[in-house]
Amino acid sequence: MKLSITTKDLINVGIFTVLYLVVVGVFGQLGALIPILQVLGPFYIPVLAGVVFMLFLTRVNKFGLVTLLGILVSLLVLATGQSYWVAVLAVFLSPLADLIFKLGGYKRWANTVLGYLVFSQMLIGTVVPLFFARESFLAKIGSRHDAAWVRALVDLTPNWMFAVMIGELALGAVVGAYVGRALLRKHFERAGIV
Amino acid sequence: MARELFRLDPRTTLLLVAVLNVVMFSAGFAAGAGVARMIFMTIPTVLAVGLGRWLAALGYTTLVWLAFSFETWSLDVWWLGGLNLILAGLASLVARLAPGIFMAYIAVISIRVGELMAGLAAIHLPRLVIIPAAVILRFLPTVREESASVQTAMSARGLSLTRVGPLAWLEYRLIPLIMSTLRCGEELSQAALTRGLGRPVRTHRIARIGMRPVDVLTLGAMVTGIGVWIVG
Repeated sequence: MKLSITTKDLINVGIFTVLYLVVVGVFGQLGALIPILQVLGPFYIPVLAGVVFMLFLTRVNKFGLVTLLGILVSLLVLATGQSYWVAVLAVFLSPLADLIFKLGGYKRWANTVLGYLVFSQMLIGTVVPLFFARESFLAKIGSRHDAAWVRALVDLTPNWMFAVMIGELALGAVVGAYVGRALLRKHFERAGIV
Repeated sequence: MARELFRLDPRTTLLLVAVLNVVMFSAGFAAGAGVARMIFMTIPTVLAVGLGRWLAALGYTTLVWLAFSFETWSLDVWWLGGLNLILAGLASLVARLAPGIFMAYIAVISIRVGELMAGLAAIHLPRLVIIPAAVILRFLPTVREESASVQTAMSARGLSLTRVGPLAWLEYRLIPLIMSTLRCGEELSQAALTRGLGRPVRTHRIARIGMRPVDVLTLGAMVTGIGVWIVG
């Protein structure tokens, strides 16, 4: 089964890129104002984006569209002042997710969940500078402040938080896939859109 | 519609979006890097004025320079302790994020869809990229409008965040937004296909693109900024 990508597919990719971005960027950022939600962000953002992504998958039946979506999203995330790490990760993760979906024929539920989990991991790129730029920041202020003060700062944002966030993204993606499917059934199938 | 004074070629605008973000996030606190950041902070102001968006330009400029001054200055003030660190972190975040976001906003309001397609075709990008890019540019304002409409509709029904709780609120906002945006998308698809977007032939472009003096000046400012950053 060799299907070529049509113009309609490309328009769809464009629309879903915007929707995904709005959910991740706008709805996701609502919580960024409250510190505790910032730590929980990696969990609830893929949950929210789940419905958009599941809906997108109902319109995908060929390789390349998920890859394109991932790369376009990452480029736009880049344009809103986020780290280039998102784009670096997207180049590897979105084709991988695409392949997982393809192996399940863009239908099988296990592949859908796993693929969305892989796809969502590119969002970890947004917090890479938080852990990375901190090093240069510490080096800079370390020369002026006493060691105890700098230590206190390090304790506030430990390195293991990065691993926790990756775990949160994975968990969030699985929950997001299920929530997305439930919402799809509740709203879109009934309305005849899917 | 505000009156335009000048406008950049879409390719220059996109390059600027990319380079500006790299500078904002990679430049440190050294003298040269600081000057480079100041140059790149100023470019969006000039472009916004060129587009006739005086108010937006004023707001952005005030915010970003306040944040930038505080970030630079607070590094020398050690007596504020922990509070200083939080404020400096916040100022730093604003100073580094705001130029990129404002530049992206300028790109969305200034680039026209036809020009974008012509510009991207001129740098030999495949249609795999050009068509989604044009759709994205066309849809960013649409989603914003639809979101405002959903907001109005929901408040007319008395469904506020405090009344229905955050989860139901999200559902009531998100689902209609997705539905109405998709409907717009279907219509756009039909319209575009009817007008022959799907044809495999090379099309003629009527959008006028090309390097103008403002493009040269902007590129010059970018090169200067990067030069100062590398040398300093």
